[in-house]
Amino acid sequence: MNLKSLTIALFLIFGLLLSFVSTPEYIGKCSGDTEYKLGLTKLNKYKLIKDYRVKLKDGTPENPPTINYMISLKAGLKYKFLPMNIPDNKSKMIMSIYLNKEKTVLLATTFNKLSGKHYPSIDFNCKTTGTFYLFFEFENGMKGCGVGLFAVEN
Amino acid sequence: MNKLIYKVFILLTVFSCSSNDQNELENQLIEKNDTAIKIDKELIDQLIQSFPSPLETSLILKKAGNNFNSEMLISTKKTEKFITNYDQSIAIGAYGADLAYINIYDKSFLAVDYLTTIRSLSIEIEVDRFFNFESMMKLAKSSSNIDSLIHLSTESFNKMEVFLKDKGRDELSVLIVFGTWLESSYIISYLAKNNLTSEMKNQVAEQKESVTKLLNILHSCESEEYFKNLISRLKKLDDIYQKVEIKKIIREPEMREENGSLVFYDKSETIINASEKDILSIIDETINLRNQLLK
Repeated sequence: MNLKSLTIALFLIFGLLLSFVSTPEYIGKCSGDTEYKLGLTKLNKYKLIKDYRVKLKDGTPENPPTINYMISLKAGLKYKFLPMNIPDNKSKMIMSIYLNKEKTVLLATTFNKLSGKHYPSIDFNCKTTGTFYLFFEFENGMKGCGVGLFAVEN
Repeated sequence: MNKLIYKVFILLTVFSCSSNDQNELENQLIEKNDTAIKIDKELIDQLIQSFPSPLETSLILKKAGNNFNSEMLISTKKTEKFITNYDQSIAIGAYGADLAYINIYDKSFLAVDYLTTIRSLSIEIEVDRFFNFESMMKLAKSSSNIDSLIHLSTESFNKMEVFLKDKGRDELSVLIVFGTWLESSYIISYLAKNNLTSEMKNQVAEQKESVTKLLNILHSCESEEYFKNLISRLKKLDDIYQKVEIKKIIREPEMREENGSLVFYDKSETIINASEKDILSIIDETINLRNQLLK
């Protein structure tokens, strides 16, 4: 057997092995290191609590893909929510705070649906200590990648 | 050579098929159990992430007018008492809470000892690579840029949390969160005991939600004796917290555009119903629990 046949055979074996490896349907993270660093410079007097690396697949405006995290907010503190988009995004990332996972009570959001305006960040003056839900999605349910920064005022 | 390649092919095909069949059988057998674990794990991850940062607790205490008090913090001289990885994880969380308290009060000269202690403990549980100790030490010693020190500390703890989650070392994450909460709650209790204002009473009462969440998290690891023991200790505190009533009235926040940023003013209200006797019992039990585990 010559080298060419051996190479073809190895390719076939490799291909066969690859066919058993499934591709994940959903990847919950993306690098976003550049956006993270840029976001930090925009926090000013706020101190970072957590950063969320978000990557969402294409969906529909009626059924946009979302990802959510539980967060704690304390009465008497002011929080900042700052969405940072990667340059390739075709639509902007939206950060919204809901009272519950079912999204029945919206408390704050970086996107005003009525005016269609995206805000570079939102501040939230908290008066009730508790657990809330931070949702991420992209406008019109489009795919996208970004970093969300969650910070507290000093 | 041809025969050899052919044998490798056959072997791979047979292996793949038998492996698939076996996996299928195994999946059928453990599917139900696996789903349960996955659901629990997702919830536990969410709960772990949802705990307030010690920065927030320290900021609240500072805003409430409490002076800095280094005497109540854990000694950095007694780390040898934390022998097992579990004890060390609780201790890392607790020292992290003390570090946040020190930093928020701008006492970075004290931070050096706490960083040294966190470094030695993090080596024990193999998470030291997430802390840039050299830079943090420099910042602490120079007292020049406390914000950078706070930021590096937060970033390091966040990276460590992600690593432990990805590596499936959830039990250590749980204990770090437990240690952070316990020390933060102790600081609140210690200060409240010496000056029981209505603000401090509320701070003590508001720990009720954290205790409930912690018990839920700890129950996920209760197959281990160590966690069973923690649950039974925390349950004593939870029993007293059951006498505390917290009612929330949720109202739509007011929204204003200020300097290009959108600001939401929360209009909700929290009504706390707790007797002074119960609050004092909670304070004593919290101090007792912390001293048992960390002093």
